[in-house]
Amino acid sequence: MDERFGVTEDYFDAVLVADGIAVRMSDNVALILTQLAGRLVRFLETGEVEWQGRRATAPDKMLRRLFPDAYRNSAAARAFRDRHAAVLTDSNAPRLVHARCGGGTEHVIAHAEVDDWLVTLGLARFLTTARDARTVDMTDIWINHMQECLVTAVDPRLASLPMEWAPQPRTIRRDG
Amino acid sequence: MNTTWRVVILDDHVNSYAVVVYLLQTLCGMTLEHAVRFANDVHHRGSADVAVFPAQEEAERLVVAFQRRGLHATARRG
Repeated sequence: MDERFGVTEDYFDAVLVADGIAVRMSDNVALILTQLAGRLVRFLETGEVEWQGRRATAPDKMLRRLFPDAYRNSAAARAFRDRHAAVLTDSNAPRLVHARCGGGTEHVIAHAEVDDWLVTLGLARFLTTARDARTVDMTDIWINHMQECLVTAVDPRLASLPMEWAPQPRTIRRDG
Repeated sequence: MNTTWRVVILDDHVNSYAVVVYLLQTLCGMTLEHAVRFANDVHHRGSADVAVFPAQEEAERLVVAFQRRGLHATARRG
């Protein structure tokens, strides 16, 4: 086979089991998820946005990307972020995911913990992707896959929903 | 004068259908059928009112919950 089309061995699966949701992932996915969760923890706790020696986005801009304006009035939106800063930037969820994924590739997580993963994945995406992005990188694709695996494991009915809401075609960014 | 506070979810290009439906069920207590309908409204109309509260504080609590999970939620009066 042409080397350019090498098959990835990466995977992430989630399935409902008696005592929760069984999650398994490849070593590489666990590593990427650990890095993403760690980066999210650092941003939420310290406002640090540097990654691998690069500072791509100013901290205040990153904060607005993760937590966009809740009001049309910009002063009211800022006040909202200030008022709810403690909850918005609570890092317990990504801390838990960071510890999980740093410690292995197979886990059985309680239903309540699924929410910690959804918080982590839902926010971590915006460390690298703008909300109005018209391109998508591999991290986006993996985050969507992981989120969908988790929610369909909890509620299998979601796997058979009519796809009325087809994803908008977007360009895949190769440097992501 | 009585006023209400609406929680509005805005469409985006990143969150997937199944996740939005799931969050509408878990955070708003919607049935699957209602969640699907509201998720479709978000996609086709660009936004949807997903909850109404008498107090701003309650509305903001739900906005925070959605934003923590990556959705763009806003609060609007009336």
